[in-house]
Amino acid sequence: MNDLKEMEARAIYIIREAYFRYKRIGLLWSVGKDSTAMLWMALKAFLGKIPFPVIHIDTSYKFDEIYEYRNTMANAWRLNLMIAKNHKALAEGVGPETGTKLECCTQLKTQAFKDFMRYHELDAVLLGIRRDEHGIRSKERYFSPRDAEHRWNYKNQPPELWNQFKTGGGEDHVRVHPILHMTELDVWRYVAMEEIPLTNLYFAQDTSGKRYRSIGCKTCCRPVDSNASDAGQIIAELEVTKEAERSGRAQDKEDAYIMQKLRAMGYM
Amino acid sequence: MSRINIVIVGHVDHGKSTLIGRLFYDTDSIPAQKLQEMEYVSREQDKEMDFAFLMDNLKEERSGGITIDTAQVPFKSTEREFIIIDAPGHVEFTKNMITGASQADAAVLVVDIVEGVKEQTRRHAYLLGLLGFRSVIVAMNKVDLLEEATAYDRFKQVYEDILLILKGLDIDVSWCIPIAAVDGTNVVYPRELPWLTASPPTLLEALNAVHVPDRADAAFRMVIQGVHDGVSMGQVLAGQADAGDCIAAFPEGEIVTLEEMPEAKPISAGEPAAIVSTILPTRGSVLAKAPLPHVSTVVEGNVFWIGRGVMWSQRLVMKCATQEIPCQVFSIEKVVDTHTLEMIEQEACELAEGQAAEMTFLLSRPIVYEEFDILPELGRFTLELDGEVVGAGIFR
Repeated sequence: MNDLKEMEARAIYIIREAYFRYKRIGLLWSVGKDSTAMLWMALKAFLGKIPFPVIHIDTSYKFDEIYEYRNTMANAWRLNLMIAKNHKALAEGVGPETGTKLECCTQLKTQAFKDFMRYHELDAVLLGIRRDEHGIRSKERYFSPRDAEHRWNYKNQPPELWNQFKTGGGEDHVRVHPILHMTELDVWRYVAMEEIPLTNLYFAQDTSGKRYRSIGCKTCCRPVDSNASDAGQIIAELEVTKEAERSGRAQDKEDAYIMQKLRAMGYM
Repeated sequence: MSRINIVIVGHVDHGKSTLIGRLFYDTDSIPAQKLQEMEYVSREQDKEMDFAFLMDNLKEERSGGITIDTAQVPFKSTEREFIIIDAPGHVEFTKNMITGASQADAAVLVVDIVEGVKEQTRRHAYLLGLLGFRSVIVAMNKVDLLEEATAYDRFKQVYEDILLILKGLDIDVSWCIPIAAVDGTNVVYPRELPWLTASPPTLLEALNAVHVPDRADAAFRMVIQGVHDGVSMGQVLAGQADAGDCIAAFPEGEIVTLEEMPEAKPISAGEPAAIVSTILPTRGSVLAKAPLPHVSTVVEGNVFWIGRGVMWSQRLVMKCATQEIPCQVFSIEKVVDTHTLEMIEQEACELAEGQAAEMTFLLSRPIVYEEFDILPELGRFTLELDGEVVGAGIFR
């Protein structure tokens, strides 16, 4: 068994554990490569049809390509797609230009997500975060219990032994991280092996020499210099780079512990 | 190329985080931004650049200089990929240490050669034994601090101390390597030590040589996670099966025929699987071919207690793979304090946090299990009280 198959097996086991343990679950789909790879594994876990909703948190500042791709694939994969949006904050004019990035992310992502979870009373939600993305995420558990405010009690996480996961007792809901063990390079190798279609933003178009390595809101993502136009070329590039994946993300740069602050408050 | 998980344990301040930093640095695995970030935070806190910052990512960890929670970070040698698991040494964070260690295929025990064996060296070795480790790599750190004239005697002394402890726990020392994480001696790059005639491998060479068993040829075992749309879904732990095979379903004790495998066939060890059979096995079922596993309502285990204390007759839930079975504590024997490793009581009626014991449980329905050395996934269990994990163990 090759390592990618092992990683996929682990993720599918976790996705199924979440589904069979909790009645009401959802899958958070940012439309990026990680959550799309996770979604692909969920399709495989349930033989082609995901039996729970797929949630997209829409800040309304996403790239046009993201919306197009999202709608096309939702049809092709027969997803029960649901949109989470903080209409109130958007009406009040919250945006990346009107305040700090911390405030914008908190309102348009974290709060939109919290409101959605509360309204739909979900017990568990699948998220495609990975340990190697950020130092703080390397401390996560596969099953990460949260209170009603989505706070992450990183100072007192439950023990997680072997394949036994936290499944009941006190928490409001659980965040489940099926691909926590995969790296950025693993995800790309998996995308290539499985031929998973992704949004064009990841690939250099024509001769622009630019592509996105990490995608989110168009206001806060910067492209990287690269001519890689398919997964194979991206893999070749990643094998030699020492540049960090999120180096194009504005929100991480405001202060050294912003991710810790964001995540303690419920950021993904 | 298969990836393996390595946990690094040892007494607080014996250099675990520094060793991990050194492994990453010397294999050129630290991302540029991470290096910059480490420099930046070091500057902000007015400290020298410290390798420990690589794994210590929480603000509290960096300012306090102590690892709170386990972290996992990948790195590569030319031969293999590794996930390094940093496990906190501080006694307060034992549950985080065992969380990290339980995910590992192999363990490195770091010992400060100047300080020698300390409380958590013993404790961590003991916990590794309870988690089922049968061998460890010992990294004897800080050899740069030794005087050449007495170095060998010191090395021998500490080695014998460790050997004595590990022998008592039924753990082999696969290698004992004198290293200096601070300057890289014998971590990735070999360096001859004038006081040592033998030339042990570097730590990286020892890690490259770790063997992970393949269970494709073992007796078929599959655990069922649940039934969805008329299909039983689960994971194959060992062996293989194909449509038409007759297999035993436990704990029902029925023979079923595999009729269909919607995904792949035959299904094989390590794979997720979906099956349709004459009787649909449900969550918690174990499917098996001969030789059959043990099935019983009375089980014994070596247990480590990480939650609030329990009394004799306490009701708990035992979890093993996808089995979840209410049980009661029938007996508590040979209670050991994992700090001192001293036996406290031969027969006890209670067990407190931080203690280990041989326990017997009565189960409300039969559990399917196996010797740990044959199939770890069915050889270990956790115990829950009100949804919290309070204990973990290996079947005896």
